[in-house]
Amino acid sequence: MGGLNKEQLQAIRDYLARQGMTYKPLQDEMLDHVSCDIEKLIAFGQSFDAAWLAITKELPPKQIQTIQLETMETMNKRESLSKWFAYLSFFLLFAGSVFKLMKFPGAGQMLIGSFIAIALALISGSTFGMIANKEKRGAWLLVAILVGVLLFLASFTFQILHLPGAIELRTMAVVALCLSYSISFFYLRGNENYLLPWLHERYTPAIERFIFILFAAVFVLRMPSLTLGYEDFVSRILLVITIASAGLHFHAISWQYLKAEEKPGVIFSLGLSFSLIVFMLPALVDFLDINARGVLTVLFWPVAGFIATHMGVENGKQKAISLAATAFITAVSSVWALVAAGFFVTAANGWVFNGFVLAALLSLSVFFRQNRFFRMYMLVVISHYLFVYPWELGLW
Amino acid sequence: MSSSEFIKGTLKTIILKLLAENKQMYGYEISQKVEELSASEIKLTYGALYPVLYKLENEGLLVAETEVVDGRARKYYSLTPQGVELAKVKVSELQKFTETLKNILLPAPNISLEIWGA
Repeated sequence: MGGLNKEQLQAIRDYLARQGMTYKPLQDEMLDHVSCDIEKLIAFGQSFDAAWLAITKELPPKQIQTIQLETMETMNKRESLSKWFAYLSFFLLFAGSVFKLMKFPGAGQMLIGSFIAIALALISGSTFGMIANKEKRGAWLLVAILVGVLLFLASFTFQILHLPGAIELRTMAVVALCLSYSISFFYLRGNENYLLPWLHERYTPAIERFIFILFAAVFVLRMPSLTLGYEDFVSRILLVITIASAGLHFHAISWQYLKAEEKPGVIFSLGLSFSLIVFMLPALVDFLDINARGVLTVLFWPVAGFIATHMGVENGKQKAISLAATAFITAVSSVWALVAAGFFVTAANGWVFNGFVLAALLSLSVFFRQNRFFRMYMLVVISHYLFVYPWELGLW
Repeated sequence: MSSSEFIKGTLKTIILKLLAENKQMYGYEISQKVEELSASEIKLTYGALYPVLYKLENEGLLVAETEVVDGRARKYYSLTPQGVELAKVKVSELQKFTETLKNILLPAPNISLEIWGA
């Protein structure tokens, strides 16, 4: 029985996504099931189009969406503890931001409370995952990454409380995350039954919801400071959290790609490690000067953009747009880095930091909204752009 | 026969039994096996099968392994030791229940009045 070709598989995947099946593991499974059904009909002499029509005709309206809803409901029942901690962290994060804006007391404590809630959500989700899936391999890698993220959150807490040790904690977090992620890019290659990608896959909808809501809120919070031209501490803190979570999630999505690929190349894993390291190192603000951080950031955009294109963009026209977007983003970041390093006059910032470039970046993220790799890349891009935006320039 | 309403309560047991006999199976394979064993009387829809598979996996009764076949990811399910034990219990319970059902559904014995000589 001949298998379906790439275009036919993509057509089925697109159909499933359009019908509301966005949860990747379930989408993969349904893609295989529907493909087997179609291949059976083809074996009986039907064409692909006729078989495809027959299958879709048999599906009641909204069934695909219902399958996803029922499946997610089934899975979420056992994860309510981490879900409630995630809600609590959201509430505290935004309540803290509002308190800070209104200059009410207790904003710092709320922010710290939200970090603790994020930590508890991660710990409870991971612990549940490890207990329920003892057969899956590589739990130590999950623990290593979890320790890195917790150290990162602890360093922010120490910084807000002005406690000594924040720098040391952040350094340990960066080292732990660089090492554990880099190992994962090699260790998780192939088709083995590992805990980390499995757990990450099932939490992906919740993680992405968290990141997108955070991004939308911080975007709105950042706008007054850019349009009216003043610096705003709250939105900067939230932007750091958005960049860190979106960047770590962007690299984590590759685990699913590494697992699905028959023979992912060593060079690709090396590229992922390089991308993660140049993404994480600028967090060591106390050890690296602005020049070094600028170089690292400029290196990150083309490598990560190429990885996002390689992993998620199949269509030739979209590939050209994603590569052009990557080049544009690298150019924008290079101007910022060269101005910061003193190679360009400060006025050069005006070429790349304005409402038109921001609108172009937003348009690109809308264009790639269906592509989970590139849209996460664009989210990191826009968050970082807003973070380094010289507020005194204004938007227009 | 409208089998879907009868299937709902027994699908979990059917899947556990099939996996107990076949070591590892993927979604399409399970639906084909059910169709084959029921002489096409029972056809599992996508909507009936996948929520149950994920539920069983979530409860730690199944473990899954993914392999790439013909350019697409295929997820093979197998029973965990806990799943093996539950499969035995559930199959036995369902067998007892179907026996009970049979007794209920059999036509009532025709107690003839002849025995009293009427």
